[in-house]
Amino acid sequence: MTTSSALLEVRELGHSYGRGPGALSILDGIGFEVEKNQIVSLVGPSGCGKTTLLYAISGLLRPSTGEVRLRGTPVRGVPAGLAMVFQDYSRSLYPWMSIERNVDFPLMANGVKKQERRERVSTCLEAVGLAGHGQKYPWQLSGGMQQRGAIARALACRPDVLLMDEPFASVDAQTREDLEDLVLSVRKRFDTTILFITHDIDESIYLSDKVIVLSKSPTFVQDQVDVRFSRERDQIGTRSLPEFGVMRAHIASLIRGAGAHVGGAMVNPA
Amino acid sequence: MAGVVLVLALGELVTRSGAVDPQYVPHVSTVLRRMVELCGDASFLSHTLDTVQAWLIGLALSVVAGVVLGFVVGSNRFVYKSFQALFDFVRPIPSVALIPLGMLVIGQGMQLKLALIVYAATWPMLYNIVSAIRSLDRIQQETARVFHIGRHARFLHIFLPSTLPHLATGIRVASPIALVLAISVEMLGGSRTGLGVWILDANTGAGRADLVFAGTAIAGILGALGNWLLAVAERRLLPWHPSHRSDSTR
Amino acid sequence: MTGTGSARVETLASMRLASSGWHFSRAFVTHVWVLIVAAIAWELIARSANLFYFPPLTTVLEHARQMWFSGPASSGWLTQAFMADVASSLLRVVLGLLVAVVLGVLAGTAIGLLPRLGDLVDPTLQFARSVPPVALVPIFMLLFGIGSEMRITLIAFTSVWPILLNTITGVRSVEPLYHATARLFRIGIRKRLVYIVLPASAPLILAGLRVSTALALIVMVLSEMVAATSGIGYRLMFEQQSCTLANMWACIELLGTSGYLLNAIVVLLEKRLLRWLPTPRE
Repeated sequence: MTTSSALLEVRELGHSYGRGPGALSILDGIGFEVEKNQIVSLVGPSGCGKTTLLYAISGLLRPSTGEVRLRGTPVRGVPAGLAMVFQDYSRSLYPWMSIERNVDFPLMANGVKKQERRERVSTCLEAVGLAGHGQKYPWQLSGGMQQRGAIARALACRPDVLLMDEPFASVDAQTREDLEDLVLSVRKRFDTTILFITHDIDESIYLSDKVIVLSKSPTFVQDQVDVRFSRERDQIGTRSLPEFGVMRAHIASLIRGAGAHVGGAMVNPA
Repeated sequence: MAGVVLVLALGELVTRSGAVDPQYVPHVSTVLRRMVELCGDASFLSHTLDTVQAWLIGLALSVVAGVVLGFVVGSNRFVYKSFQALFDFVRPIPSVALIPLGMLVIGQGMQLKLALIVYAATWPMLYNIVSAIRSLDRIQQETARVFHIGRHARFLHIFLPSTLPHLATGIRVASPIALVLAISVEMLGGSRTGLGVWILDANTGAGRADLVFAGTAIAGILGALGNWLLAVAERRLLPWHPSHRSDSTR
Repeated sequence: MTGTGSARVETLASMRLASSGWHFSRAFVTHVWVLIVAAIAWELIARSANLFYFPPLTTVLEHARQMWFSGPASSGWLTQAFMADVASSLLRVVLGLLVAVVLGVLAGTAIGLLPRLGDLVDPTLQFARSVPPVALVPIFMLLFGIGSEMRITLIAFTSVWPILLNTITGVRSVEPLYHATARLFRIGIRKRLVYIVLPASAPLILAGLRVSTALALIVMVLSEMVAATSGIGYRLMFEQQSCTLANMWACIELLGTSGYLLNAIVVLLEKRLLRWLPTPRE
């Protein structure tokens, strides 16, 4: 068995609900790798079990088949070293805690010392642009700022891998661009590795080093597209590059077609 | 259902174990037996009927009063605002505290029971009707008017359906209040007949603990039956309305 | 970069605060005129018609003062009678409520989190809370006599239901994503209970407490009216039997005021503990 150097490996991951002939197969033999410090996106048509996949990777859900390895160790239950930012921030951040407290809480619950907690909280809040807003309650902040808070909370845990489940879907376009750039800056500053789910193809190309294109349910990996731009990206510049359009077209056609399983063949990017 | 049986069985074990004095806490099986016996006892039944009559008639009257008053108060913003202060001041006075006054002014008997039940149970009815009227969806009304739906039809198909759930909640809250007032009046000497009188007699007279428990249990069943029937009726008649869960008593 | 949304929220909030100053005085007048008119009307009608059963407001207040507030300054002008009638009664209510809160929240949390236990216990709970509280007075008299313990136990037993049931509902309806987030951040079950489940259920629990408070007062008065040797309910019956109407009315007013105050305390508690709730737009 080849041991991979990748930080996160997903192998033959499958999941179905129920048993026997009525079983509903959601995921079917998904495999990919995420290297350290990469941003990898998962894109696919709506309803393709992206969230189920992320839950399986994070250990919140035990998959029916296959396995996930973090730093070479199989994932059983939620491992240390993972953090997640959910799409629905209003139901993920705790409304009765200030933003600061929300960021501090997982650290406190896991026994981090007070001094260190304070440092991490202020660093992370500052990194996401919420310095000075820590005392506010979530409802007092806009959607974009709440999501920044959620990102700060995830970052404060110093995770090996940061999982993001369509984090900017519920946010307006202007804010979304700011948040995308935030993700890039965070990766640079904290050396984080990020697995990012989105339905926005442009976003996936803009952010990632690799885009993994998923199929319709039962979901498998249709293609893995390497994004060879430099890591210094710019909303207007990068998106106007010709390769950007080519990749977008390719991925869009895969998703639009969202084909049936064709013997697991991988199509190389044009 | 299994849970109820379990609790009863547990109770039987405890009462038989000798941990409690059987003179004060009879065996569960004894109480159950008495309850069955009481259902055939003419005197007990007539007392109970008296209470139930007061309960139902009083409740019906308070529904009418609540609806009428609710309309008056809810339809006019000024009236509503003005009476809010009155509500806040008079409502905290427990209705049972007015029983002694009632006994002096009205005297004993059914009239006293009805008067107090109506006083106490009208408040929640009123509150709910007012909230129903104040929360009438303006957009629903406008839509109906745009489509030239006549007054009569509007009342039937828009107004009533949006008000009925509040009415149902009001009745559901008012019913146990009415029962409590009925029994309270009886226990305080405001009536010569009634379940409350019977239970108190059993307690102070011969000191028959089993009868006291049996009578109280039957009172509890009455209360539970009332709540259950109302809940079922609500679900049947208003299946389209999201079921009221929390905060049903405010 | 920073949300324009937050600036908008701040402006709205400050606007609301500014306008509420003006609104406050106007609302105050509309609210209070009824009370003033009612008070004056009571006074005039009672004086002129000389109704035996409805003494004038001023007479009632005077009797109330005599009975309870004419004591030595050292004890805050409170009389012995006040201590016997009012203080002890209210103390029992508070103690009974405390017991009810502790039991209700603990049991409610357990039942809410263990679905099988909930299924088992549900029908019994539904029955138990439908028992008219007044019907329990004879049983409690039988079991505990007519002293303080009986009253506190009775109050606790009857007030626990709204809190218990609301806690169960609250715990059961905690947003699943809160739990998923907590599991993801590897937050243990004990911390989850204290920092997530309880605060999330707090609005419902406090609403239950409000109902329980009103219920506790009623039960206290009832139990004192049926069988007691002291307390405000006892006083009420005593004055009624002595036909001293003004004193009796004073008791009624005192009860109303106590109920109002108790409710106000709970509302204050709610405001303090639920500061984090988004303020609703009117």
